[in-house]
Amino acid sequence: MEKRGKNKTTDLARREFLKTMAALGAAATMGSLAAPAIARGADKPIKIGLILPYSGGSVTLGLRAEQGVRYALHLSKYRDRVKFLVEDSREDPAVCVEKAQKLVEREEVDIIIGPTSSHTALAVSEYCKTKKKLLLLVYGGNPKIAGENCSRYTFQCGHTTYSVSAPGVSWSFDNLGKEIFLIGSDYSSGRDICGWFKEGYLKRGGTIVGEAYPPIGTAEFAPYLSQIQHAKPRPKLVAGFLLPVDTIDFTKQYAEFGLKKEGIPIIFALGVYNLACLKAAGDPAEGMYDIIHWTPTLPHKENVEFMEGFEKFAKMEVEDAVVLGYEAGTCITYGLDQTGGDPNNEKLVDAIAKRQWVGPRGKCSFGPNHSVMHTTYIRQVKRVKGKLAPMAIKDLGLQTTPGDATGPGGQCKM
Amino acid sequence: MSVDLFFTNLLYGLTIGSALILIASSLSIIFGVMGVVNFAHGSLAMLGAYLGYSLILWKMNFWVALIISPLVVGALAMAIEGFTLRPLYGKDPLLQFFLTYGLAMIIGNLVLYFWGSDPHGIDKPILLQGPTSIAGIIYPKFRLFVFIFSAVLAIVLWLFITRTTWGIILRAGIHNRELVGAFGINMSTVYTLVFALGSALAAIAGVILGAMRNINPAMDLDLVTSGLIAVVIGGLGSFRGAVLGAFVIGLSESFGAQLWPGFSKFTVYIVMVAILLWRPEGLIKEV
Repeated sequence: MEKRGKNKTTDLARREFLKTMAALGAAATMGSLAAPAIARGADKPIKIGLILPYSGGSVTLGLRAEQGVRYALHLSKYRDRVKFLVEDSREDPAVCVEKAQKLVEREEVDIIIGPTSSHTALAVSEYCKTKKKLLLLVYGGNPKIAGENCSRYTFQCGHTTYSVSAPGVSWSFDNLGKEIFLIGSDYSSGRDICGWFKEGYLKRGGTIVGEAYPPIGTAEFAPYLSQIQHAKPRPKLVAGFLLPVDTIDFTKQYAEFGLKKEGIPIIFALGVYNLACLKAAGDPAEGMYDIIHWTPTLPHKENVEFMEGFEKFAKMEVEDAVVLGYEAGTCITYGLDQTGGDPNNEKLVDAIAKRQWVGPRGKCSFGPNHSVMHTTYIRQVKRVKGKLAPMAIKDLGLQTTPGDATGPGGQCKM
Repeated sequence: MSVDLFFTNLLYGLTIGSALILIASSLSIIFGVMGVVNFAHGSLAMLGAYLGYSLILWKMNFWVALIISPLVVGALAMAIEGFTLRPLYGKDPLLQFFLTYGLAMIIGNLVLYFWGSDPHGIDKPILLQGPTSIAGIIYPKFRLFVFIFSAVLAIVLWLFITRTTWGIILRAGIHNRELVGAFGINMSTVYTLVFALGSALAAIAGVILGAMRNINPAMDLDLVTSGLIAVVIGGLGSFRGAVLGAFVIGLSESFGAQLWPGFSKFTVYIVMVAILLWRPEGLIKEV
């Protein structure tokens, strides 16, 4: 009995085992037919690598953009699957490529976000192209990425330097002054933006009274301000682009040197007069202008809800960088929604390319070169309830960066 | 370059230099007396700037911040010297360098922790805001103040070093520490006071520079680099050399940006290399 009983137990266990295996096999087969996404990666963790500036001249952007991305994913159903890996871009192309290699080849991330400056973005985009890795650029508005260096795997979610500078040139000419002094940080974005101002002004009969290209990280602008002081004829406007931290010093010293008092305004591209900059620059920034795609006072529902939600989530003010981080984050969640949660890059790319949405910035979509179309505004720094804030004073309409021969970055061939 | 522009740049160059005098001269005194290349000097200046910023946020004015911030940094420096540098005297100088490098990292991270990564600005006193005119040249009032203030402080320091008993002890200590000790003077106390004084001067520079420029967690490296270049150009351990070195940097920056715009950041280094090739010991070889 004992022996038989033992055998019975063994037989039962074996039968149970076989039944269980059969059931599991059937379930697996059924599962692969009924819910293909589960078997193909819809449940696996989604690794997102962030290469953003946490030091240097664009330090104000890094943490904010990261929080924007985190907020977008926090609102989605993927928030428990997401793992963020954060790297400091140090605004150095070589460092950025090294970080991208680490993230892609060692950490095996699914998606990369960043970096922010034009030259670093181009370097990482070229690397991601070779690895067929999805890259979402928060800033990184190098027009070449929308043109001859475009990539199927890269999306310029924020803007290009062209889309947030060139549309404001004619407005500046008509409203601020026809004699212009150009100043730009000495790298591709600074020189490109000054180039578009120069081209636009010369085409319309304006005068370029001087140009200066201080190195990135310049803290002492006296030598350049003395050039503006001595420029003849007297400029009616100073325009171009300096990195955000450099803009603070330039603006403070500009007022110190009496140029603000002389009534010569500054207009800078890329929305450098953001709240962080205004807090550090203080009164000298009041009355100055910038060109960008968003401002906190945009009244549409998507912006108002986003601002309220984000401020509760992160306990920090919304800035341009937060918005761009959020928009890049929603590109990921949108893409995942379309692929059933599968982070497969080929499917994500196809999905994101078709995206049209209304976000905090208003209507947006991607062109065939994967460069975003957005509304561009002229903002002026005004005092609102005792605090300085960049206020939209002119809507320049929807803007994009063409990826054909007419575009600033040449012909895009995917 | 017009005569007007030349004099404008000369004036600006001298002002840039005068803002660096306090950093360079205090770095030089610390090296001269203690033999320590203090890599944390820029970080102490940065800490001074941030403390000044916070004091002004707490409703104190610029002048109060200019006094309290160096006192706090000076007191902190006394603790740093007593607890970290003192055990390393007489040992391999590399150990001191690594220690101060580590201190710079710690101070940098503390600044990030307490003040965050956003840049800030120190408000100038209302009296010193805006420009004034000097012989037809429009010149910022605050820079004129920096120029005069740094010059006065440099002269006071110079008189202290050359005309007072403590100054004589300092200079004697540079030449022969053992001999000074043999006279019954406690060199440990001298070292502590020198390090505290040097750090307090760096903090003063931090507050002043924080009003001229923005303050951010990366400013320490810029400050210590400029200070070290000024000291190397002027002559290691020489007070007068540090002052001269600071002016050489200021003028190189000012004229470099005008004459070689594409290379303005390298002008200072080109000048430094040229001077070192000409006089490897620096421009002045004395205290």
